[in-house]
Amino acid sequence: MSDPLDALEHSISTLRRAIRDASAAGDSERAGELRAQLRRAERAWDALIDTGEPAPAPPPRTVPDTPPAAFGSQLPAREHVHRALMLLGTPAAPKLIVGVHEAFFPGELSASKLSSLRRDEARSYQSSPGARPYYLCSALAHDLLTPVRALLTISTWPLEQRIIGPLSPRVDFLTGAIRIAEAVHAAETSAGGEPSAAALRLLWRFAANIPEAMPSRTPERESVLDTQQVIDAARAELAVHLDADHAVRSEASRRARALDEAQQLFGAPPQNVTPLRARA
Amino acid sequence: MSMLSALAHVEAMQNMTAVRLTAFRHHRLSDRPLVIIPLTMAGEAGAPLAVMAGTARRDMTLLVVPQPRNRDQRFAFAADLGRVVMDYIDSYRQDRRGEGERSQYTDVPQIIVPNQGGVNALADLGRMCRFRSTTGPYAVPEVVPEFGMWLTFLVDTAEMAGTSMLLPLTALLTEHWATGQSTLEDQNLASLMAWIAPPRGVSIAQALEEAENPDVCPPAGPSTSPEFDNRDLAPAIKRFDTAHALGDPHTLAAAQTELTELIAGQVKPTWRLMWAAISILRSIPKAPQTARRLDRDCRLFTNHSDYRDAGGLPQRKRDTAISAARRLSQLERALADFEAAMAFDDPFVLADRRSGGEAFTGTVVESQPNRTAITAKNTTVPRPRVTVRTSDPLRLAAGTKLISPTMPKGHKAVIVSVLPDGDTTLVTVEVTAGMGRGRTPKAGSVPDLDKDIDYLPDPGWRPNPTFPDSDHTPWTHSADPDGPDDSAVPENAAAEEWGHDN
Amino acid sequence: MKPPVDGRLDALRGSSPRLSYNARSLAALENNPRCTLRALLDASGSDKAAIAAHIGYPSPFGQSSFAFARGNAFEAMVKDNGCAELLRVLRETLKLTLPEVAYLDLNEVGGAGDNDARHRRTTEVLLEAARGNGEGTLFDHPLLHLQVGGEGAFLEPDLVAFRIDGRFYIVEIKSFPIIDGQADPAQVRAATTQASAYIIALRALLAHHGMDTGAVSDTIVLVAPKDFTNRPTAAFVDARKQVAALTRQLSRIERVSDLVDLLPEDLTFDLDLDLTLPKKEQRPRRPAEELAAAVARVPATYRPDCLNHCEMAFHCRAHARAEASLDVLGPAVREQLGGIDTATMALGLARGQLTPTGDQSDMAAALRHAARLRDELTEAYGGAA
Repeated sequence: MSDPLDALEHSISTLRRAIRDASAAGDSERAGELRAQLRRAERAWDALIDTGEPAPAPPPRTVPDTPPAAFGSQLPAREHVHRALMLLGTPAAPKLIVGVHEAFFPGELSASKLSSLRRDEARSYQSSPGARPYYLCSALAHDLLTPVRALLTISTWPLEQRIIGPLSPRVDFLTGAIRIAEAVHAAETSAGGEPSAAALRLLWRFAANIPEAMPSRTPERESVLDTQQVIDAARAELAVHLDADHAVRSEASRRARALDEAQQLFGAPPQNVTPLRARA
Repeated sequence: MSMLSALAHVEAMQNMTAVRLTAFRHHRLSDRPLVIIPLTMAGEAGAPLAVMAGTARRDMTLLVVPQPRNRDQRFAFAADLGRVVMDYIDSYRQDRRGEGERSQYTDVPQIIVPNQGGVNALADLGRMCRFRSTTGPYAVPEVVPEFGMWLTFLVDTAEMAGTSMLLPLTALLTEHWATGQSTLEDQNLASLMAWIAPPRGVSIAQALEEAENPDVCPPAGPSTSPEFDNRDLAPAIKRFDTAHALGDPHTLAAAQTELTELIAGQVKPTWRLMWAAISILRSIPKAPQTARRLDRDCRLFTNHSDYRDAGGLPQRKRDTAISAARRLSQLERALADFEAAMAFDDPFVLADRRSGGEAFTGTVVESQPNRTAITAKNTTVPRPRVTVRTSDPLRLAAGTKLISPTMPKGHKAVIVSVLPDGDTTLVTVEVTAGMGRGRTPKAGSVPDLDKDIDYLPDPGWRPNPTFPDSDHTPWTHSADPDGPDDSAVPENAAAEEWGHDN
Repeated sequence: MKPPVDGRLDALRGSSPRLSYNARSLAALENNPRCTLRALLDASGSDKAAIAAHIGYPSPFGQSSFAFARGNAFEAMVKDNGCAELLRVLRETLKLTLPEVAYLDLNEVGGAGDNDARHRRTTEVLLEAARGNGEGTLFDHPLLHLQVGGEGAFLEPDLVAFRIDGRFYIVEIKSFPIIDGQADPAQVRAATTQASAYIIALRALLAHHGMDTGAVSDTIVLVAPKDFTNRPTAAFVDARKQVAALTRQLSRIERVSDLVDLLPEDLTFDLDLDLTLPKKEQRPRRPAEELAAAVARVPATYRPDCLNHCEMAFHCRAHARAEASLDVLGPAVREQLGGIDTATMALGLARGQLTPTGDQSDMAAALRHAARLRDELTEAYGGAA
């Protein structure tokens, strides 16, 4: 055992076995201590290696990513969400709301902030109904009028706009595509402005899933989206679904008007759910 | 598997120790191999997590992707690793010998990974990098596509038997040793090494148990152990993300150091094990024809290098069915040549073939050294015949062309007849080459009476392959015409979906 | 309804609660179907992982949280924005027409997620679709139900697509990539086997209501990331073989009584948990040696690839090793030494210490020849490493 490196490697192996034994015995505290010891031993090994052939440690790589935005408006999250939903004009899931926000508006908004939003709004509504000019509330399932998973809407929208029938997810997607394309177009034509990279990416992701919305492939790698083409394509498909979707939504909204106001906003309570039946 | 190898595994199992399968090492080991241990993130192909690379046990670089889901970090990592690997490869693109067509480099790089999974990880990385553009909105550093094309080249050569430019260590070890465990378990480098060279003071049985315990022997990759992922790695990545979001350089540096240390702890045991294995492999004498195979490697390496120097396009995504079949036939050919060369060089391998009836050893019991024949061109040539008595279970038929490691170079023969004689077999062969230009065979070119002689099939003789119909291939095998890399679909288009936790 | 054998199966499991089948455990039936131990443990709903751990072979099967997160994130991404990405790929593969976009979320019913309600709703909407009165094209996480060995199991496909021509397709969303049109065959196989369980369950649903089971396609749609992107692509996978294989395995479970009849009367894999304690604190009270002895009384068919999927594999390997069974070395060696079960016998025949039986004589001759060659080499070059 002349090589100190060998000796160190031997004790590293011994430590690893001790960790295994401690874990097997369920002694996680001891295992944790041993892991710390192991890290020290490994550092010693590194040091020994370095003394052998001094090689400068590579500088820690700077992480290539956009720097966290330090600027931005101090608007509360609900204002950000409101603005994004107004732009879309359709019920939307938190991920899309954040996407729209990042594409078109300054300030920070994270999906995690949205998770409790609907509950907070409902609570605020209950404590003093109608005190706020708008509430962020639920989309309603067309059949049971219960809240739909994950989707957010605005209380000032007509009920029909907040109802989700079988065709509505697609209708809302196409409507959203049109609104996003219009917003991108507005940015393109505004004086001195141009759409953000995030806005173009968002539009691209919508357009890629609408027939005929993408420009035909050109030899050059980057194909440029034509906002009018996206709008036309989305409208063309929308025309196929719109009447059927509208019929379902308006029928459901008629029924929904029988609910009390809070239920109209935040959905009917779970129903039609019988207690667990004993299984055969 | 032959009867002899099967028996070797049974012996290994019974005696609880690895058993030798060859007399020689049939793959070249470079004096300065580049050892690479790739780690990937579970659940996502092509999401590299880290790599340890270096050309000596004491000289290694650890590269870590702190957030493997971030595509920008992925390509920054690919560029870093690409520089390490390209520096290494370029050091072999210096010395050339020969003129014109025959000019080639005199040595080739050698990358060693722990197991086949390591080769697959490099294949994925190569595919991910080689089509990347160095201009435009998602530009990557110049080295990235170059690195991708070289990796793809190396991975392609690794499929060809006998090449040595990219090797999984487990394959090198199992070529020389039989263990008392299954092929599946032999894929675990630590288990395999437990049979061959257990750690000092540890029995093979104990070492085997430890090899499967991720606390003692973290997996050699490319996947890390789920326990490690959940217990250590996930929280550390989360801390890194948080630090990154906060933007505080000190917290970020600390988080990065922690992550690097954690991963180092997982990869270093494999690093040490690999160099231990390499040093054991070095002690095995290399087979005589290894040099000839190096020459082929130099040829392949030079061709690709020149192609790269000429600015060649990246390798196609997929071969067409026909060219795939053609490549398959090349690979089969290389395998046959390699197997024959191993048997020619190595009595262990020859014995292996003998036990399967594909080669034989026996004693010359009858000889007609002066027999001649008249060729179609009406010239008389020596065609001596000898009869060999063998107790091997021969399965070769009349007409099989043969070579012999016990005869001088150039000796060739063909089986004339095979006749069972009690427990033994009498094989009559006609010598067809290696006798010089004269009308009588030169001295020593015909086996003498009572001489012990080995014969095995000449791989030079193979039927022409017939290629499968290119139609009706299932989708897993079908090949579309090779277009550009989906030019309308930038891979980063959905990048933000994956940036950070949400 | 219960066949009498169920009493015996319950006794085999003992006091522990029955583990019900899910798509994953059903798919696992296809691996090593001839193993009696596995068949009995599964059919009795015993907790293999707990049993293996108690007798000293804790199973190393854990899933990395990364793989889990990646799988969920990919599925969510495919279904985001009204299944925008999914519709694109299904329009390509299934040739869905433009109007076929209706989406029904069966993850919950009216805000509640209990299984029976979800299963009732699933039944209702799928039957309506099958009768041609429905409006759904995409059924997100329907909850199917299948009787397996007299026990019910709930099965939840990622998605069922219903085409206007009256055909149902199981859609499996997986996060392993399809790179240049090729995916890892092992992963495709596992996904297909899992989907086969859904096909069988959906057909059972139709059959139960007197409808044509042919409406369920035995081709599945695999949706997976394309190359190294997050964008999904889709491919058809023919599941006919695996549907047939799984159907066969399911009928074997129905016939598990044949196996049970061969067992000693008093045999049980009972862990004897203290069920009054909270689940996390329950520890087996049965002596480990006793349980190990019970397990050892049932024949297992060990193969090295069991190590990839069966919780009992490490126990079985230890047993195979102790018996010097050639199973330890895997199929390549086994096939070469057909008809010989143990290392002891192989070496005995090779060294001429054992007299071969009639049908072993050829094998014995080959072994003796191989041993002679090895001896010569060992003499010339030295033996072990």
